Amino acid sequence: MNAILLSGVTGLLLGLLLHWTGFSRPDGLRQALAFRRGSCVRSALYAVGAAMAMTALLCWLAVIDVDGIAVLPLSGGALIGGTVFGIAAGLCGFTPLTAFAGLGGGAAPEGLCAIAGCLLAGQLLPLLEGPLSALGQLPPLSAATVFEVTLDEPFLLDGGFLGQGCAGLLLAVIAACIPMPRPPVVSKPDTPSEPDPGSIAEDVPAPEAEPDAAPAADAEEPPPDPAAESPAPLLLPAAAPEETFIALLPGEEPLVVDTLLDEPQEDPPTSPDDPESPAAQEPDESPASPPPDEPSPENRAEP
Amino acid sequence: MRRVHPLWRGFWLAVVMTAALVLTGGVDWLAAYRMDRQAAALGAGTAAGALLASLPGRLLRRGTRPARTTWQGCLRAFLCGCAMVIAAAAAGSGRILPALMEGSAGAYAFVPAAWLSGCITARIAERRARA
Repeated sequence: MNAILLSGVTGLLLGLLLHWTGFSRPDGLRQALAFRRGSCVRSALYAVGAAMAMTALLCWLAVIDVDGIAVLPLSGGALIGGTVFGIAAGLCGFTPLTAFAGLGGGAAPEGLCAIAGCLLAGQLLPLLEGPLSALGQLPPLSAATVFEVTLDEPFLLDGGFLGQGCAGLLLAVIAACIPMPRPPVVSKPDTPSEPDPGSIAEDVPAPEAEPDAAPAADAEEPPPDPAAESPAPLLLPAAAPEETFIALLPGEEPLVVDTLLDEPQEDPPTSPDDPESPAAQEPDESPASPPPDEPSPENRAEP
Repeated sequence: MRRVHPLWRGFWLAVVMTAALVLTGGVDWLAAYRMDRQAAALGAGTAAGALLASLPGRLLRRGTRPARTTWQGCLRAFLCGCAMVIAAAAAGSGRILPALMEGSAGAYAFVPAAWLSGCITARIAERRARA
């Protein structure tokens, strides 16, 4: 009973972290596999590398009994199985573990179907035991571990726990060196490759198609500081609402229109700190657009 | 957790994976799909944890329509789930990540092969979706 409870609590923590890392959605795993989403790739590689280093340290400290290590030997089955596994994961966006996270984390139908497929295949495995075991013996390789981490299993390289820990640390360093993606630059005003007049940037990503943690993680690093003389590029954050679109008119500043508002703002977004902006030069005294401090007549509270 | 650096998220994920290896012997999802009770509890806990983590985002986005789900996507997930379990059984175990952490040579072959083929597949699927 205690073991089941411990597994449940460990799974709870694992599910929390898988969702926060962005692997509970099919797009998260697909983009991480394709090296599209830098934050997911960094998190995954760093997790694997740090876990390898921690495990090597715990084995060296004899917290983990090396006699109890269940070794997965090197065979043709591992290579073929890994290839098939990767193709399936790239197609559906789940692994058998992240399907559980997808079930609870916002991709329930696909996660449920993936779990159902895994369950069916798990029940059919005894029928496939003969061909699969033959596949596992395909090239008879004798190596069981890469470094000498067990007492009696054959190994490829010397080095022991130190080598295993260094391999993990190397993976973690590689993960830390992966560059983070920058927010996409839609267009630059006053550039030779201007879009057509009146063109509307409609390809703003919808917020519901993204996990609630991953877009913010991608936009964590600030964009590069634009030069003071050159016009600032128009940046679309990944978490921009679907109802916002940006119109690029020739010779004018970009017009941001938010269709959620009752009264669409026709003025371009200007910062009050900018001395050349019209908002800083003269206050808006038109009755149709009250200042943001005062509530609008419709929203004003009745006595 | 929204503003936490990816490396910190990876570090905590590593801590939980190592704790799972020490406390429960590692995540063996092949055993979970063979109805082993301890592994099934870990899977159920994973689903509950992801549900718990997604609650704030769901409450904040209340009223927006959810992502579209098609029957083709569900069928693909079902078939790919079957294929993944058979592939892991061909490799010999469902403890792929724990085996990698312990230094097994099979996991050193399995994970790069899976990542490489997954990268190619995801990029081809992405290109077909754009076309």
